[in-house]
Amino acid sequence: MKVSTYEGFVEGGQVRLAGDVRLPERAKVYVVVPEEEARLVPYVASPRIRHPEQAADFDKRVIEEDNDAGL
Amino acid sequence: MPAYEVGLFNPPAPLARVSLRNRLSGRIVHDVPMLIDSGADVTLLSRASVDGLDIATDPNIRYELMAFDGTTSTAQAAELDLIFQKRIFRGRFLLTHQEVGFLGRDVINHLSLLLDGPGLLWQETQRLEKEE
Repeated sequence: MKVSTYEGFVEGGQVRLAGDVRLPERAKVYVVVPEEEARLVPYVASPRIRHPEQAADFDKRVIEEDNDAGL
Repeated sequence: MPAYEVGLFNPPAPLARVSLRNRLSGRIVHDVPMLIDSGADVTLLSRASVDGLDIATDPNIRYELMAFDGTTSTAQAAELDLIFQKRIFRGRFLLTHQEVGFLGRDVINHLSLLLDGPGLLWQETQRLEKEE
C-alpha cells in the first residue's frame, strides 16, 4: 500500500490539512497523533480553580436582554 | 423545554445552547453546546466556538485548573458576552480545547434551574422559598 503523509491539525473536533492539500471526497485516511500532542489536551470534567482567590476574576455582570439597548 | 443530550453523554446530561458575542465587534456565534455542570467552579468555553469571534487572548494570562482526580492543567481566558436564558453574562471566561464547554457556577448560580432527570428535560424555574 502506497502511503502519503500530510501535516494537519484538529480544529473544532475535525482534522484540517495544512496548506493547499485537497483530497477526494470520502477519501480514506489514517490519522497519526504524536504522543506528545495527544497529552496536551487533557479532559477536564467539573474543573476547579486551583487558586480559589482567582474565582473573583470570573464574576459576571448580568444584564437582562430586554435592557440590552446600545450594546 | 430543552432536552438532555443522549448522544455525547452516558448517562444523558443536561445540555444548554448559548450564544457567544464579541463585545467590541458585535460578532456572534449561536447554538454553542454547554454542559450544565454544577461541579465546575467557572464556565469553560470551547475554543473552537470562540475562535469564530476573533477575540484576542493574552497568552501570558493563564489559570490553573484541577480535575476531580487532582490532575492539573492551565487555560487561557477571554472577555466576552455569553447570552443564555434572555440574559447577558458579561465578563471573563476560560477556554478549553474540548468539544463541549461547561456552564459553571459563575453562570448557573444566577439562575434557578430544574433538572428533570427521569424526563430528560431541563428548564428555568421560579426561585424557591427558603424554609424557616
